[in-house]
Amino acid sequence: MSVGGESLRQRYAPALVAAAAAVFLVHAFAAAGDAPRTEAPQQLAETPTTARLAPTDARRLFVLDTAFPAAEAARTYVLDGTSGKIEGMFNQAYWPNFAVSPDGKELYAVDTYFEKHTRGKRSDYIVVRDAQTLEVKVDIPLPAGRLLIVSKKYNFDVTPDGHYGLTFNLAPSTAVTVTDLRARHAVGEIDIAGCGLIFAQAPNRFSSLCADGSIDTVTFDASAHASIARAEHIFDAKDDPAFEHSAWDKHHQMLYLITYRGSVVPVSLAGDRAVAGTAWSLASTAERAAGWRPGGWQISHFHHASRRLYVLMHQGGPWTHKTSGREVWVYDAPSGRRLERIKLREPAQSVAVSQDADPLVYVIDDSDRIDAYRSATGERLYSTAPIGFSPQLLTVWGE
Amino acid sequence: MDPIVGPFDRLIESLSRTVARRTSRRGFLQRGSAWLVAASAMPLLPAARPVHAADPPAGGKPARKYASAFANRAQTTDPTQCNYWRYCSSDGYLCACCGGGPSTCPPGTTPSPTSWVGSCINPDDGKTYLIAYRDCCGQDSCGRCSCLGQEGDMPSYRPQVNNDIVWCFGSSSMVYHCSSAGLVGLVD
Repeated sequence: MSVGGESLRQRYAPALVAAAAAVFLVHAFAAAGDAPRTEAPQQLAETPTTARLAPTDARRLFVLDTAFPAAEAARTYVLDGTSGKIEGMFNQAYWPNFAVSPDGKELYAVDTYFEKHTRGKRSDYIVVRDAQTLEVKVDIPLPAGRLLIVSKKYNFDVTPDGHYGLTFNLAPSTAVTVTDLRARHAVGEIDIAGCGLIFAQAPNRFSSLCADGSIDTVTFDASAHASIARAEHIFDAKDDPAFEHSAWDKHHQMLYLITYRGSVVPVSLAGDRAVAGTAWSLASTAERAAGWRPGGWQISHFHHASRRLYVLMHQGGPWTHKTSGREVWVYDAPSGRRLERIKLREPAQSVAVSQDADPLVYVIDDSDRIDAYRSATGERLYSTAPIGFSPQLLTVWGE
Repeated sequence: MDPIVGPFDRLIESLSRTVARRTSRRGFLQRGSAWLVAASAMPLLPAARPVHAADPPAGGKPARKYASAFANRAQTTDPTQCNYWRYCSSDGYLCACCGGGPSTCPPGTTPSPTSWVGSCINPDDGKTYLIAYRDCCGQDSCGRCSCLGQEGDMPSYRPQVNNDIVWCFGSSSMVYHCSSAGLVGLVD
C-alpha cells in the first residue's frame, strides 16, 4: 500500500526504529536487573492480557442490541447490573435471539448469517459461548432455519434442565426446532400449526400461544416426536391479544398473559395442558379512564422468588401498544395487588428485573441508556451512557 | 379491543387471499399450508423503534373526523413523511426516502412477491383505498424515515397482521431494505 507515492514502510520507518529501540532498552534493563529504584521497569513493561468475566451472577445484565439500521451488526453487551459498567460484548447476527444456560456457564446466541454479508448462502446457528471468556465453543447448525423478525425473546427458549434449545420457525408453516444442547446438534422439527412463541416449562415440554387464543402444550421425546394438548379460549386473540413479551415465571410454570387493554390472564403451564386462572386488571377503572395501559417492546418481566410482576405503563389511546412506558407498575402476581409505581426518568421500551433478594429494575430508555432502579424504593441508582445503536432486549440470569 | 380491530382483521385476511392469488409467488405459497396462505398477506418489516411514531395522542381523544386516528392526521402530498395517507399500517423505513417511491423499490432491491393489504382513508376525497404493503429486499435497512405504525398491528402468533416480521419470503433475498405502499384499488 502507498500513500501519496511514499510507502508506509518508508514513511514510518524512523518511528518504528525508535519504538523498537525503546522496547529493546526496556527489556535490556529488565534482564540486567538494573532498574531505577523508584520506577521498576519490569512493571512498566506490561504483558497484553485479556480480561475474563467473573462467574455469572444474579446482577449480570445482558443487553441485546439489534443495531438498527445495520441489522447484521447486532451484538450483545454484558454489564455489571449493580454499577452499569460494561464488562464485555460479543457479536450476534441478523435478527438474533439470546439466552443464558440455567447453570450460567454458557451463553446461547441464535444467529443468521449470509455468506457475503447481506447476500449469498444463508446459515442459521445456535452459537454457544463460554460465559466467562465469551469465546465460541461451538456453532450448532439449525438446518431448517428460523424466523427472521425484529428480535423477540420467546422465539427461543431453553428447557429448565438446560438440555434442549427450542427455536421458532415460519418457513412457511410454523414449527419449533429442537436442539440437543448437550449433544450439540439439532434433533428435529415439531409442527405447531397456527401457533407461535415458546415457553419451555419442563425438560421435555413447551407451550405456544395460538392465533385463535388457545395455548398448545407440546410434550416431546429425544427424537422430537411430540404430542400436543390444546387448551382453548385462554385469551381473546382477536379483540384483546396478549403481548408477546408477557411475563414468564418459569420457576413456577406460570405464564401471566398481559393484554393490549391491560388485563392479566394467569395461566398454569405446569401440566400437559394449559389451565387459565381468573383474569385481573393492571389498572383501576379510574386509571383506565385516564388512558393507563401497557406498552413498549419487552413490556414486562417477573421476579420469581417474590412472585412480583413488573409492567411498563403509559397513558395513550388505542393502538399504542408499542409506545414506551413512563412508569413501571409492580404487582404481587398471585393476588393481583399493586405494590408500587416506579416513575421513570425517561420513557422506556424494555424492562427486566434481577433475580436476587434485593432486585434491581433495569429499563432501556428512549435515549438508549440503561436506567437502574431499586425495586424496594423506586430510587434510581444510575443511568448509563447510550449503549449500542438500538438496544432492545434485556436478559438476566435465572429469569 | 377497539372497534377497528374486528373489521380490520377480517378485511386483511380476506383481501390477503385475493392479493395472494393475483401475485406471482410460485414456490412459497404452493408449499404453504392453508393457514399460511391466509397469513401470506403479511406485513412489512421492522422499525420497532420509537422514532417519528405515528401514534394517536395520549388519552386517545384526537379531533375525530374518521374512526382512524391516523386518518385524522394524514396528508396526501409528501410520501417522505410518516403521516402520508397510505402509511396507515406501514412500519419500517419509507422507500420514498431511499431512492424509491410509495410503490417503487430503490435501485439494488427487489419487491417481495408477497405483501399484505391494508385499507387507508384518503383525506382528500374521504374514500377508503386498498394498499399493498410490500417489503423491498436485497440490501440492508435503508435507515431513513423510520415510521412506526401501530394501527392494526397484532402479535406475531398472528403473523398475517404483525408488522415486525421480515416479509421477504419468496424473494431472492431475506434482507429487508424498506417498506412500500402501493395502491391496489378502491374499497367498494
